Amino acid sequence: SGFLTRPVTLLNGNANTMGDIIGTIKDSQQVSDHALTALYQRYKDPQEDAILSDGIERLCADLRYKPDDFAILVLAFRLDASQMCRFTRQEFIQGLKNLNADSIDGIRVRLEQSVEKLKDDSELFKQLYRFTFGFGLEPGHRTLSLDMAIILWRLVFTVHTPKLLDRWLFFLGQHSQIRGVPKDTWNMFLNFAETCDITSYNDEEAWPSLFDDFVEYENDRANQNVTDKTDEEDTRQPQVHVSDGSL
Amino acid sequence: MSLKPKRVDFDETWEGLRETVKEVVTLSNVKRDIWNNRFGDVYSICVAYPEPLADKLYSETKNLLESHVENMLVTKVAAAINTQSSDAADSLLWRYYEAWSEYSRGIGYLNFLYMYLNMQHIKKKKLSEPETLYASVSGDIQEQMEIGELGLDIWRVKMIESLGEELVKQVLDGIKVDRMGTETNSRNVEVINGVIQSFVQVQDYRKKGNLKLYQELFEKPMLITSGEYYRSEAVKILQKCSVSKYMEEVIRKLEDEKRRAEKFLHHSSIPKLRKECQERMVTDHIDFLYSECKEMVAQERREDLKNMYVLLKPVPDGLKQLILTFLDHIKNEGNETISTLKGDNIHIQFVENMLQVHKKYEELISDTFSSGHSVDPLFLSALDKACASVINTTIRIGEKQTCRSAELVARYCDSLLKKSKSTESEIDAKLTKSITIFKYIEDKDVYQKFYSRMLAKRLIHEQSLSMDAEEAMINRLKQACGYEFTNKLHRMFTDISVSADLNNKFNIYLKDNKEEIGISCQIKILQAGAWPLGPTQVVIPFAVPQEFEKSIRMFEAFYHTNFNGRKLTWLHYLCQGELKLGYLKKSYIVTMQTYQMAILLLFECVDTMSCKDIQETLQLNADTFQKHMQSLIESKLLLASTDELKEDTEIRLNFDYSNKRTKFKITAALQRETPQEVEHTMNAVDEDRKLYLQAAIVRIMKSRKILRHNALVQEIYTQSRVSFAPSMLMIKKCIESLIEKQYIERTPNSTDQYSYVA
Repeated sequence: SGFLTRPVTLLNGNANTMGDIIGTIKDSQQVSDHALTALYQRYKDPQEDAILSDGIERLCADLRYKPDDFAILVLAFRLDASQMCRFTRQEFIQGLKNLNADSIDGIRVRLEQSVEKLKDDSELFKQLYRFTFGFGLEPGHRTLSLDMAIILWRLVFTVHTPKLLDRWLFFLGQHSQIRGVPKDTWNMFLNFAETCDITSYNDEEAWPSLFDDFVEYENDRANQNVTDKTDEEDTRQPQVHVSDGSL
Repeated sequence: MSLKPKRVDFDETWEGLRETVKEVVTLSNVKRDIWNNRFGDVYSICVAYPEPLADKLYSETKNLLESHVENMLVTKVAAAINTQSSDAADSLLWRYYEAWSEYSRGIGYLNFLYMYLNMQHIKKKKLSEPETLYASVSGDIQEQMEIGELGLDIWRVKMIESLGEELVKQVLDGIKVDRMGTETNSRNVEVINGVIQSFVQVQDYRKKGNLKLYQELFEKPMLITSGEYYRSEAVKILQKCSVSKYMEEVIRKLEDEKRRAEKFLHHSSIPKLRKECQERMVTDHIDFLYSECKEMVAQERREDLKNMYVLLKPVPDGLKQLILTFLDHIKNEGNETISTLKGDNIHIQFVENMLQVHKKYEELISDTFSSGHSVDPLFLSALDKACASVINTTIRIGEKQTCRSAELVARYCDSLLKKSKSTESEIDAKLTKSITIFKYIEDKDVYQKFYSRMLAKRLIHEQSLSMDAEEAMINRLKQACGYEFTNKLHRMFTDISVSADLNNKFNIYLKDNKEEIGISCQIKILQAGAWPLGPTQVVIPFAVPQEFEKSIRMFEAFYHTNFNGRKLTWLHYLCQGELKLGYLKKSYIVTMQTYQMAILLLFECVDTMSCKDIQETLQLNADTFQKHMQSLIESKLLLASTDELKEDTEIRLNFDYSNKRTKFKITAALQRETPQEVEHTMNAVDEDRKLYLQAAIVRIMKSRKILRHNALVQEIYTQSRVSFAPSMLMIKKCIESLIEKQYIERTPNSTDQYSYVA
C-alpha cells in the first residue's frame, strides 16, 4: 500500500501559495449552509444519502490528496466519521461547520492547520490516536484486524513517530497468527511507545500481553545478534503466544 | 499494762530494750515475758506523752546495730583476712557466711519486736508509692526504713561495701575450682551459694532494683570470668578435635555448667551464663561447625546432626545453613528417585518412591531435629519445600514443558481403586498416604480433571473395587481441598446410586404394564455437566439393533412419565453388554461393547457379510466401524478375508473359535486411554482455568471497584492457590479479555489501574 513507503509531503507545498490561501479565508465569516449543502451534493452517492468510497475519492482528488494520506485521516477525525469509506450527511455538514470551512480550498487550509497543530499538541494527538481505532473497525467488530492495525499505526504515527515503530510493525508482520488488536492494546501502545524502554520492560506490570511477546522477540533478536552474528539466515522463530481475543 | 499514752523515761526504758535487742540479733535466748515487755516498751515509746519518742528510738536502734555490725566485721569476719589459713572452715567465706546467717535471722526477729514502730510510725511516714516514683527522689531527706530493712541496709553498708570485692574474688575462685573438676564438698557449696545469695537477700525488700547489688557486684564479673574461661577451653578442645568430637565435648560442658549454675547462682543468672557459654564455644566457632555440615547431611550422621541441632538452635539464624543444606539434600534424593522412573507403572513408582523419601526424612527429622516432644517446624517446612519442589518440577516432554505429577498421582489412585487382588484395608492405607503427595501438587485442578475422568470410567464400566472405597477417597479429597473441589465427583457418585434405584422401578413398571423386553438391562442416568464425557450433545450415528429397540423405547416412556421434560441422550459408545454365543462347541458368555455386539448380532441369520453391508446397516462412521471391527477380528470371533478392512472385505463367523474361559471380556482394548485423551484433559484444564480466573477477577473487581494491577494480581494468586498456580501470561490474557468484554476498564489517565464496569 502506497503510504507505507511514501514519504509525507503534505506540508512541503509552495509556501507562498499556502499563505495566499490562508489570507483569503482567514477572516471568513460564518460558513454558508447553502455552500455546504452544495458541496455535500457534489460528492453524495446517487443512491444513498451519504458520501461513499467513490465520492470520497473524488473529494480527495479535488483536495489534491490521496485517500490514504495522513490529512485524510485528520479529515475523518475532524468530521468525527464513525467508519471508513463513509461520511454521513450529518457528519459531513456538521463537521465542516465545526471546521469552519465550506469550500475545497477552505477544507484544505483547515487540514493543513490541523496537521500543524497535531505536531505540537500531544493531547490532541492522543484524541486522534484513539479515534483511529474506532474509525478502522469493521462494523460489528471489537478488534482491529492485524493488517488494518499495521496500516493505521503507520498512518497515525505520521506525526509523533515513536522510535520503536518500525520494529513493532516488523514484529507484527512476522506474526500473522495474531488474530487482532483489541482496543486496550491499541490505546496502551501509545503509552508504551511514549514511556517504555525495552531493556527495563517488566512483564508483571499492566501492559497487554502482546507487548510481552514483542519485547521477548526483540530480546531474542538482540541475543542472537550478540551470540551468533554470522548466522544471519537463521529464521528460527521465537515462540509467540497467539493472541486470542475471545477467551 | 495500759495502752493509754503516758510519760516515758526514755533512757531508762531504752536501757532495758537495748540489752534485749543485743540478745535478739545474736540469737541468744530471750524469755517470753521479757520479749512481751519489750514489745510493750516499743509501744510506749512510740505513743509517749507529751510527745512520741519514736524518732529517738529509731536513731538509737540504728546506732546500736551499726556498732554491732562494725564489731562483727572486726572480730568475727575480717579477723583472719591476712592470716593465711589453709583450713577451709576458717576461710573468709566461711566466717562471712556464718556471721551473715546469724545476723540475717536475728534481724528478722528484731523486725517483729519493732512491729509497732514499723506499722504505725514508719509506714505512715513512708512516702506513698507514686510519690517515690515521681516526686522526692532527692536524697537529702533521710527516709526511715522498717527495722528489718534498716538492719539489712546496715549490713550492706558496713559489711559488704568493705569486704565485697574480696568475697567475690574468692567465690569466683571457688567456682573455677569446681569447673576444673575438683568436686566441691557440700558444705562448701552451701557456703558459696549462701554468700552469693546474701547479695540478693540484703536488698530483697526493695520493690525496684532488688537485684542491682547482686548484678553489679557479682554477676558482671562472674560472666566475664566465665566467658574467659570457656573461650580458652574452646580453643583447647579445638586443637585436638574433629567437629563431631568438639560438639560432644561442648554439649557435655554446657550440661555441666548448667548444673553448676543451678547449684551456685541466683536463678536469674542461669540463662545469662548459658548464653555466654554458648557464645564463647558455639557462636565464636560457627564456621568451624559448618565446615562439615555438608558431609554430615550427605551421610545422614544422625548423632552429629542431633548435636549440631542442639548447639545451633539457640544461636540467632544459626540453623539457617543447616536447614538449607538439608533441604538440598532431600531435593537431590527426590529428584534422583524420580529421574530413574521407567516402564508401564511409572505412576506407582512415582508415588511410592516419593512417599518413601518423605517418610524417611520425616522420621529423620522427628528423631534428630526435635527438642522434647516438639519436632522443629523449620525442618518440617524444609521437608515440605523440598518435596513440593521435586513434585512440581517440570519435565520436558517433546515440545512442551509439563509437570506430570498431578496425572501420575491420579493414575495411582485409579490403579488402586480398580478391582485387584489387594485387600480393601491395604488399598485404603495406600490411598490415605497418597494424599500426602497430593497435597504437594500445585496443579490440583489437573489432578481433579484426571481423577474425575478415571472415576467416570470406573463407574460406567463398573470397574470399581468398592463403592465404599470410592466414597472414602472422595471424602479425603474434600477434606484436603474443600467442597467445591469434589462437587462434581460427588454428583457422579450420586448418579450411580440413584440409577440403581431407578432400574428397580423400571422393572416394576414393566411388570405392572405386563411388558417383556426380551433382554435384561441396566441403565445409568448421568447428569450432563457433572461427567467429564466431552460434548455429549453430538450424537454419533448408530442404527440400534432391533434387539435393543423395545427396551430403549420402554425406558424412555418410563423415564418421561417420571421426569417430564428431561432429555435423554443415549451414549452407546459407553455401554457394554453380555452376549451368549451358542453356535460353538461350548457356549460362551462374552462381555463386549455395544457396537461390537451390534456387529455380532448381524450374524444371527447369516454367516458371511461384507464390510460395506455391515457398516451401512449399522450406519456407523468409518472410524468407529474400523475400531470395533478390528477388535472383533483380533478376538478371533470373526474372520476377515483381507488383512486390511476394505469395503468388499468379507467377514465371516469363526465356527472354530475356542477359548479356555467360558466367560470373558473383549472390551479392554477399547477402554484404554489414548494420548489424545491426555491432551484433551490438559486442554480442558486450561479452559477451566481461564473461566476460573475471569470469574475471580470479576468477583474481586466487583467488590473492590477500583484496584491497581499488582494488587489485583496478588488477589488472584491468593484465590487460585488452592487449586493451581496461574501463569502471569494467563492472568494478563484474562484481564485483556474482560476489558474487551467491558466487564472492567482501565481508569482514565492511569495505565495500571482497573475499575469495575457496573
